Amino acid sequence: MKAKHQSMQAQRNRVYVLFLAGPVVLFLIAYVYSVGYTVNLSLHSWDGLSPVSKFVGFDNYISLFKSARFENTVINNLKWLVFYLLVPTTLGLSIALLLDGKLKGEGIFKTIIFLPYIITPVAVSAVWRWLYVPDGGLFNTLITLVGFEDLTQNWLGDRGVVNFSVMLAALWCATGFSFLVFYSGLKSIPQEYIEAARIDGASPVSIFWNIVLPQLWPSTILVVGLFGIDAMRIFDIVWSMSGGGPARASEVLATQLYDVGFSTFRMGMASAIGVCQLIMAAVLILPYIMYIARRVEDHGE
Amino acid sequence: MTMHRSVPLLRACRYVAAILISLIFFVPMLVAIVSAFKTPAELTDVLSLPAHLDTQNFTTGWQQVGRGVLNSLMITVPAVILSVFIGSVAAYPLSMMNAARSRFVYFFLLSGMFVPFQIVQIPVFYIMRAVGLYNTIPGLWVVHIAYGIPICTFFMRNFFATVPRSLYEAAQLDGCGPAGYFFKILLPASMTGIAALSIVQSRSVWNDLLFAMTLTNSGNTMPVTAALNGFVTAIQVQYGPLMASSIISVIPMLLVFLLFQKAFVRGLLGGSSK
Amino acid sequence: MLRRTFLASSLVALGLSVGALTPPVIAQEKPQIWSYWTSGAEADALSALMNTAKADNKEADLVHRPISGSAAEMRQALQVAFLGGNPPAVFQSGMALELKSFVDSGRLASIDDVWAEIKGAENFAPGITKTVMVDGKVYGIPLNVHIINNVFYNKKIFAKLGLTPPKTWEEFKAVAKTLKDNGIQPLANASGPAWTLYNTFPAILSVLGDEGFYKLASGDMAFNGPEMHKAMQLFTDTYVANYMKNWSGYTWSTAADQFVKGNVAMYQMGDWLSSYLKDAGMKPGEDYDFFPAPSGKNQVVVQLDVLAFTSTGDDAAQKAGKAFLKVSGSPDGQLAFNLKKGSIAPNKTASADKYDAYGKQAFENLKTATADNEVIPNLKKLLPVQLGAEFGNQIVAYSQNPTPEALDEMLNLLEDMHKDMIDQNAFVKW
Repeated sequence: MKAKHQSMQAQRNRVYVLFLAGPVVLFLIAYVYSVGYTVNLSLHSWDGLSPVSKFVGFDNYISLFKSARFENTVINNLKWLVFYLLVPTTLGLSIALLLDGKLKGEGIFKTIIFLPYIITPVAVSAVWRWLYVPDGGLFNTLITLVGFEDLTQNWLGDRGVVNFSVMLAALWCATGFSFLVFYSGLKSIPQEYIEAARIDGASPVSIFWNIVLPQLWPSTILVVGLFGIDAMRIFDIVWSMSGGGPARASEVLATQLYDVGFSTFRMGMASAIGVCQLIMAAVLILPYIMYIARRVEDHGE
Repeated sequence: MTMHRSVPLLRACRYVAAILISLIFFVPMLVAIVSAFKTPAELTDVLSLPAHLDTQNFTTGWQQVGRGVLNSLMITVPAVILSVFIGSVAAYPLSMMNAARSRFVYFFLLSGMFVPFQIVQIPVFYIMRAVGLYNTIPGLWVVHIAYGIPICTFFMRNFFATVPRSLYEAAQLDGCGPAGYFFKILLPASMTGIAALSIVQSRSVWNDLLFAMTLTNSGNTMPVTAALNGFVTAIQVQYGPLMASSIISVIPMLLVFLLFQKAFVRGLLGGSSK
Repeated sequence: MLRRTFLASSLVALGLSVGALTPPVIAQEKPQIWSYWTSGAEADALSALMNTAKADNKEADLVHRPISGSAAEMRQALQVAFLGGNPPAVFQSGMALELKSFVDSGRLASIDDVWAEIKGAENFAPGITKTVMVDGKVYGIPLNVHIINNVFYNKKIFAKLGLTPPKTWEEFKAVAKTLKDNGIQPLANASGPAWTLYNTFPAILSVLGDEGFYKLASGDMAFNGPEMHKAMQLFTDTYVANYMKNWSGYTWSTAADQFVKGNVAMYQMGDWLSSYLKDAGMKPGEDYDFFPAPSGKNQVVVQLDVLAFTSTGDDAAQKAGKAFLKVSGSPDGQLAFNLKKGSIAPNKTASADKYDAYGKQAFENLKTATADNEVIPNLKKLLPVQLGAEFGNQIVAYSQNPTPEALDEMLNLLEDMHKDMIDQNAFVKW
């Protein structure tokens, strides 16, 4: 019996290794080799086209760390991270709470709120740029209409405002996802828990804090994780909406990388930006990944 | 769950709020739809309504992006199916093995999540050329599978962790091996999770521009995102056709969502909160 | 149900993928031309040129690969191709320094022979030749000219207020003042690192003169010297002081919408604006017209696209590429392209008959300027790319906050970069 168990164990392990082999090899080639290549490139000066490149050591990094442009970009990326972790998450949760529970036309509401998530960023930014036109655009027209003319903004043209404007458009897109995750999370909370609490005389607020929110923890992990990663990689919406402008005020790491590499032909420097982006993401998201790995263990065997 | 008691007034308030929020979310889409029917002269005023429904933009748009939609379908459908499958294949052992052993591999695969794609462009090109998949649609499938591994593994690993252990034990008693269990029982039982992940993956593959630009070399392989981009960067911006073709390009994704949304909602978290 | 849907979609996918395996392979056999003229009038223009080329010479048969995006995306695609993909025989390049960057990396071949055959030296203005010449050799064909120093104005508003197009900066300021007094914003502008910079060229030309302009471009003049200070001050007093409210929040086309609505009366922009205004229902010569920005002489500042020739192709590609370039430089090829695109043929032997009202006028201006040797290339494209980009971004920031301190700061910063660029030998030599 024991021998049989052991041989089964061995067979199981063989199958597991077989299953993992393909993905791991693919991962090694796609990620490890590529990142190594980029790290190497970041130590060179290369215009991207010449057959030759020159080794420059850490020069690219040194000039990056000295530049005010890079500093501003790092700060912008951090702003995006904070924004993504807080705003679309909370808004998605609120809308999910609002819609949960036998409203008629649920399907329509759900579709409308989710739809922006799947629209391509090029189209999103084209529409939102219209909404943001200072004179005649929807936002300023509405603000003027309700009598707060002083509050009209130069949405994409003011260096102090532009980041928030792009974020608002991103919020429109991202909320659909968090909403749907929370909505399905709410659906799967066992009804008995809430009934029981209600019979015990708990208030809706306390039910929310003590029962609903803990039950939504898996949803929160999913949303926060994916948004955190999106925030560190953010590119499309910024690039197509503001191009990082005006005067580079809304640049993020990925758009700066692109601009440096392909508009001003400094591939080594662009690679250095990429490596910094990678390290930053690793430092900021690593704790989260570790948490996930551990949490999964708790649930596992 | 239903937290709200059925107080009619509260219910009415919720309706009002829901309608209001949906309206706000709908406004940008409405602007796009209305604009798609406008002539260039009417487009100069964002908030105006078109005098009559001009379908010219849709004709122009379709000419420009029709082929792209087809290309995108050829890229997206197999890429999504394969990447979800490979993610499941990786996730299965990780969900079954004991923690100490799987932790390292799992952690390692997840670390791919924070690699910005812009930096892998050149190496990816080299690799794909070396294996002869440069400028082929299957080449794009491979790339999307490879770069989808972290997210797909993460997602499916979480899903599998919540499939009741008893299922596996029952299968074992029936003489089902570990591989047989995966294909015959676990995968079919995880369809909701697979559907949910498919929507997330479809969206990122469908919207990809970077890999498409790196790895394709002709209009025959250009996806719809690239075709759309062509409208904006031309010196004569054509917003009408852009809006019309954006709408065209969203329709396949919308269909996918409507088709799978029940499963999506059920599967997003897997059984994890059962 | 769900499983069946999946099964069905897998089958569809399989069918599609079998189809997907074949077409790209065929497309590689013919030599290619790459461009980012991918939609609308631009795409039409290119196919008109390709048809003319094919009709003229069977060898000049290239396959078009559209690159989605613009110069940066083209660069990205070429970079990959030169690493070992399939580089095109001919591709759309920017002028001057952008072209030089390709030459420097050893990826282009000189086309002096084609240039001689099409009598380039005679048929193109010296200012235009400068945009395709590096170290005395020609590397590309100038395909289309866009004039970027014309100021478009709303004719009806001017008529109502009894204004005439200004010829000097003083007149310009007076016109702007009248407009302002009557509640109309004088001058439109848009965000982005190009437009504001283009708006400085008339002021730079009028203070530095053509010679000084070229000196600045070739790195032989300081950015923070008295001349540039004066030029930027002139730009500030004439243009910046009269920009419409919140200009930095507009794209060039949404700013054009303000012009169409009559909210703003003037707009210095490339002549693609004319096509936009026409599409928006304004009539050229009736509702709008243009005057050259008052830079002193009748300089015409041009922006152009160049067809560049790669050195990497095999014999067949080289032959086809050169045959194609020959047609592209000829009057026929140039007209076929430019009539569709709404730009002007740089080859001065191309006839003017078929242009529209705006095109005829622009063509005349170009001809006069060619005769006077006053065709001036876009400064941004003459400067080393990094410096041009920095200038573009700095000028946007400065124009939003035009204080004397900000001006000093900007010019000093540019001068630092100018010195760096000299050390790197990055400036153009003609």
